[in-house]
Order: sequence, then structure tokens, then C-alpha cells
Amino acid sequence: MSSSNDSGAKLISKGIAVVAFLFMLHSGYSAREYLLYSKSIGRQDPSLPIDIVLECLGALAVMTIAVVLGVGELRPISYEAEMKRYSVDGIYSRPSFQVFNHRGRFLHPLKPAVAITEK
Amino acid sequence: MSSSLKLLAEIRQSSERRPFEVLKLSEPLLNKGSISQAGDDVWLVYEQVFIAAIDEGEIDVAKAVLEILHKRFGGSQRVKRLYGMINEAVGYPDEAKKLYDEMLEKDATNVLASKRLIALLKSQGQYSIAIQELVSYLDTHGNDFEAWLELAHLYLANHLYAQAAFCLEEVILQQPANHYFHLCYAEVNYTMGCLDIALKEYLRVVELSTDNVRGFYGIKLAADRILDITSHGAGKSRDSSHFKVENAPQKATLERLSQLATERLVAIYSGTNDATKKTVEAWLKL
Repeated sequence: MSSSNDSGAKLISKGIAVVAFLFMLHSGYSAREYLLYSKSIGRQDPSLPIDIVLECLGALAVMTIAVVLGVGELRPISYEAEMKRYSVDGIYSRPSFQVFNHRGRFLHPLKPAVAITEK
Repeated sequence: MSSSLKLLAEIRQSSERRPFEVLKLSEPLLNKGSISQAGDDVWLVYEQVFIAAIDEGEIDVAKAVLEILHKRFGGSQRVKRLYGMINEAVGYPDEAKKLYDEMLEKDATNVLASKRLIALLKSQGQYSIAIQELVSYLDTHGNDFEAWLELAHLYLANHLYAQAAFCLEEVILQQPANHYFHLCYAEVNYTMGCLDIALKEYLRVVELSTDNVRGFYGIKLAADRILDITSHGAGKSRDSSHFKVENAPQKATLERLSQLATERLVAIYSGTNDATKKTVEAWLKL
């Protein structure tokens, strides 16, 4: 259940990120239009109106947050947290040096054989 | 991807040796053919199942899997190595050796083949030759920490602690933040009686890994033994010949370290059941 909820939330945040990106494009387009317009009426002050700046910055903030939330499960960055995932058996095992003439084959002798079907 | 494929991938990445679980998880996958859901990883899964199968002595399964791998990667050296391994498992070490030698003839730098040859010597109980081979292997591949670790364990199997400690130093040099290697190094030093180094390394273990029980037990043991030796007069006890008392911390520091280890151990075990708690407290002499 929780995983499906998670993926749903991720989808929503990805959607929000896309919408925010469109808003950012829109603010860029508005800025261009505004500058062309001011040039054509010969205005001296080329600074952008506050609503375009706010739209751009707001969209950027929303998009950053949405992308971070939608990217997947975040993992801790400390080396210790990473090491917690490994057990002492895994660390001390040397897979390239395994030997196979051991008692393993006598431990589960009565298991039914697996039939292999190749696809 | 199905949950058993995920579990198999987890086991593969942890490099733990759990052949029984691998076979159990892969049995339905192999029978139903749903193993192909693994995508590109399917060949890794086959290799994993193969190694688990020869570990468990399921030679029929191993042969069937090997057939599939051989069909896909005909001239592959990696598959040839698997042929060598199945020969080892069924008791034809000479055949296996021949295959590995052929691999090395084709490519003298084939790391996997050289490692198998050393493992083969180990499986035949020829430890001293295996050590010789591994030492010359490490002359060329000095950055292979797995080989250093293997050499350390070969030395340990022959009670050559000083040599093992040297190998573990090399391993620590390559992975200084991995507390498991510090732990092993500390234990080897403790066994040799180098209590000052052992104590330092145990402290490093608990520094790198919060509330590491094995580390705290080690601190307590090492600190108490140094205290014991120093209080009986340095030089008289045969234990003190392996380390200089001057290198160990002050008496007050040692007492506080021992106390701290006791406190932490009690705190760590406070959440467990009564029987465990009693055992721990009895050992700690509370």
C-alpha cells in the first residue's frame, strides 16, 4: 500500500515540476515580449516588472523542490549509514577465492531437482 | 521486477554466501521462465544461481544453467571460469587447473583465473604454496584489497599473526573508513598481545560505527588487560613483552575507557530480554 502511495506522490510531484517548468518558460517569454514592447515605445528603463521576476523565481523554487521530492528515495550520505547495509559476512567473504569441495552437497541431499525451462 | 529478483540482486550486491536462499528464490523463476524479467541482469542471475548450485551440490541445476550461459557467451573467458569451477565442485581439480591455465595462456593478466588457481591450491590444503602464489600475485596487483584480505586469512589459518596484521594494514590503507577491517586488525593485534595498538583500533571501530558492540567489548577487554599488566609491574608479566607500556594511555584514561565501554554496553543491551541482560551484566561483573 505505502509503496503505491509513494509512487502516486512521486507522480504528482513530477507533474508539479513539469508545470513549474512551463511557468518558467512562460516568464521568459513574457520578459522577451516586455522588452520588445518597451523598445518599440522607446522606454528608457529596461528593468522587468515585478510580476515577471516573481513568476520566474517562484517557478524555479517550486520546480527545484518538486524535482527533489519526485526523484526517488533519498539515501543518507554518511559513510556509516552506507556501511550499515553490509554485514560482516559480506565484507569478509572473498567471492573470487571461494572453494567448492566442501560439505555443502551433503547438507540438503533430498531436495527435488529443479527443471530448467529456457525462454 | 518481482520481489525474488530484487532479493537475489540484494544478495548479489552484499556478496554474502547464501546459496540455499539463492536456490530457493530462483527455483520458481527458473521453472516458470520468469527469470527473463530481470532484463540485462538475467546473465548475472544465472551466474549467481550457478555458483549457488555448485555450492549446494546441485550439479544438475548448475549444468543446465551453464548450458544456457554457454549458448549465449560461447567463447567467453568468464564462462570458461565457470566450467573450471564446476570441475572443482565435482572433484576434478586437475581439469579445473587445466582450464584456468588455458585462460592465463590466452591472457596472462586475467585476474579471475589467477585467483581461481590460488583458491584451487587452498581447496587442496596446500596453504604454503597458495600463500606463495598469492604473494607473487599481489606483487603485480597491489591494489586488490580482496586478495590482501584473502592473504590475511590464509596467514591467520596458519597462526602467522604478524604477517596477517601486515596484510590487514594494506586493506585498511585502501578502505580506511570501513570499520570491519579495523575490527579485524584490532582482534589480530589483541591476539598477538599488542594491546596498545588493539585498544587504539577498537576505539577507531566505535568512532566509525556508532554503538558497535564488538568494538566496545574489545575496548573493555584491552583496557582491563593493560591495567592488569601495569598494576602487576611492567616487564614481569610475559604479556607485556609484546607492547611497550609507555605507548598505552595513562591509567586514569584506561579506567575511564573501560567504564565508558561498560556503560555503553549496558545501554545497548537495555532493550533486550532479561536473560541476555543478565548474561551481559554477569560478564561485565556489575
